[in-house]
Amino acid sequence: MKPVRVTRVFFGLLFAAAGIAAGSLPVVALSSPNYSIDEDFVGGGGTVNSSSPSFSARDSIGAPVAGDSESTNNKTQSGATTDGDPMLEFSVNSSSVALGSLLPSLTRTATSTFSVRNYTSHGYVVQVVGSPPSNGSHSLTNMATAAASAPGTEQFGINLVANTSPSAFGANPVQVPTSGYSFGVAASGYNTANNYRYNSGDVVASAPKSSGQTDYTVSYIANSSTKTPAGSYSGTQTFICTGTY
Amino acid sequence: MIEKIDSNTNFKKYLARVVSAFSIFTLLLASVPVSPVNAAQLTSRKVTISSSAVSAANTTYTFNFTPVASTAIKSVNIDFCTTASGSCNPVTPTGVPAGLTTTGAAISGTPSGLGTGGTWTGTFTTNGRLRISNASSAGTAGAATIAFTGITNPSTTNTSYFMRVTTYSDAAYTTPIDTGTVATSTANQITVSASVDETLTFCTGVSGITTSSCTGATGTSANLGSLSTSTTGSGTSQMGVAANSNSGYAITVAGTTLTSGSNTITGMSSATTSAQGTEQFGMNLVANATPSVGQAPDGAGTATAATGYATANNFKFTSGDTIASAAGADDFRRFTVSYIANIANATEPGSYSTALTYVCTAMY
Repeated sequence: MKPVRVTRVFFGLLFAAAGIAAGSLPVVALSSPNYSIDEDFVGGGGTVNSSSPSFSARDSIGAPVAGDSESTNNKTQSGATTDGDPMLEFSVNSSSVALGSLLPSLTRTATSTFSVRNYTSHGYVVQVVGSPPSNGSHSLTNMATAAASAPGTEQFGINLVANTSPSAFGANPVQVPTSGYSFGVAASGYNTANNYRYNSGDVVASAPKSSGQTDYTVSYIANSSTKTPAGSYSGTQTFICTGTY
Repeated sequence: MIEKIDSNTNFKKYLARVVSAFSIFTLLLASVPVSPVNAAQLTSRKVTISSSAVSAANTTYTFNFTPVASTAIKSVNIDFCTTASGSCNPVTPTGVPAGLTTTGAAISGTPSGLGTGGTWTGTFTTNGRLRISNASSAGTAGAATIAFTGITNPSTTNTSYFMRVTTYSDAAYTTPIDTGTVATSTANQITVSASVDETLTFCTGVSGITTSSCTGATGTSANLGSLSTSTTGSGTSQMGVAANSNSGYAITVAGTTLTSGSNTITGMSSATTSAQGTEQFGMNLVANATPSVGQAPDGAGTATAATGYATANNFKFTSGDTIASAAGADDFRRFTVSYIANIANATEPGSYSTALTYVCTAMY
C-alpha cells in the first residue's frame, strides 16, 4: 500500500469536528432537553449567506416540496427557506365606506378589503372593534346575531363571504397564491352567505396555523325603518390582527 | 510531529491512534460550550392591542407568553422595534417605530404567571421600552399575562412592528431567562357612513286610514247630525302620521267653533264632560262611552294624544291647541278624532259648520 500522510487525515478530521462544533456546516435539525435548532434545511435548498463590509446577500434555492406540519408544541414549515422571525403583514385597504341614502324599502350595501399574511406563527385572529354608524344619540341597530337583510327594519351588519341577497356583492376569502399555502377563513357568524352580523369585539376572521396571504372582502349592509331618525350617520371600525407565535 | 509510515502494520497502528485522538477531541468539544448559550424561546406568545389605529392614544397592549424555564421571573424588558431581529435599541434610539410613545405607559392590572409574591413596578422612561420588575417574585413561572395602558401607537398605517420580550431571573435586567418576539400592525380605520333623509307622512280623512298607511284616506266632512237639547251630536275623523324626526312632532288644530252665520256654538275651552242642554263643541282623541264615539290611537307608533284631548268622555276645543305629539322619531300612528256638540234652548236654529285645519310640525 502506498504510504499516506496520516497527519493530513488527523487535521482533516480535527477541522471537521471543529466545524461541526461551531455550527458552520449544514447539519440535520437536532434537539435535546437543552438545545434546539429552530430552522434548518435538508437537501439541496437552504440559505447561503454572503457578506462584505458594504453588502450582504442571503440566498435560497427552491425546494421540490412545501407544506406545514404542526402539533401542540412543535411546528415545521417545509419548502424554500423562510426567516424564523415572527412575521405579520396586515393591511386594511380602505379608510371609508359609503352606504348612501337609506330608505325603508331598500337595503344599502358596500364593501371594503383587508389582507393578512402571518408566517412563523400558530395562526391569527382578526377582530372588529367599533360602534355601528350613529347620528347624534341614535345608532343604527347592530345585528347581534347572524340574520338575513330585512328592509324596513333598522339593521347594520357585515360578513366576509360572497352574497346573493340583497344583491350579488362581496367575495369569499382568497388564498394567495393557493389554498396550499394560505389558510385564512371567515369566522362563525360572518361566514354564511346572505347572513350578516355585527358585534364590536367579535373575531371576524382567523387562520388556524401559519399562513400565507389571505385577501378578505368585508360586505356591509344597512337598513332603515320609517322611524330611523333622519340625518347623517357614521361610525369608525377598527380591525385588529393578533398573531400567536 | 511528522512521520512517514512505510509498512502496513505501522500504518494501521498509527491510524488507530489518530482515530482515537480524534474521538477524544470530539468528545471534549461536545462537553465544552462552543458558543454563548442563548436564552430559550418563549412559546405561545402574542400581543393583543386595543386599537390598530395609527397614533391611537392610550392604547392597551396585552402580552401573553409561556416561559420555557419555570424559574421565577423578576424582571421583564420589552423593546418596540421596526424589525423582528437585527439592530434595535430604544436607548440610542435605533429602530424604534416612528410616532410610538411608551413613556406614558402604566401597568394595567396585575401581571400574572411570572411568579408569586411582591409587587411589580414599571419603568417607562425610555421611549420604546417597557420594563417591569419585582425583586420579591418567587415560585414558578407559567403562562404569563402582562398588560400596559397609556401607549400611543406608531404613526404609519398598515405597518408591522415588533416587540422583543426578554425575561430575567433578577430584578436588574441582567440575567436573561427566555426571549421571544411578537408582531402586530397598525391598520387603516374604516369610517362607515350613511344618510337618512327626512320623512313625514301626514294625512287626514273621515275614513280609510289604516294602522300603517294613509293610502286609503278619504272624506273631508264629519256630520254631527241634527242637534237637540236632549241628544249629543257626535262624529269622527281620522289622522295618520309618521315622521323620522329625531325630536318628534306635534299636531295642532286651528279653526273656529261650529258657526252658523253670526251664531256660534260655544267651544269647550277646558276639558269637560258632555252636558246636554248646554252649548258645547269639543273633541278628543280617545275612545269614549259618553257618548259612545271614537277609538284609541293605534298603529306601530307611540305618539299620544295631548293633555286635554286624552281623557275618555272629556272634550275640549281651543283653536291652536296641540292635540297629539311624539317625543322622537315615530312609526305610523292612527288617531281618531271624536267630535261632540250640544245645544241649549237658546241656541239659534240653523246649519252650523266649521273648517278645521290640522297641522303636523316635525322637529328634526
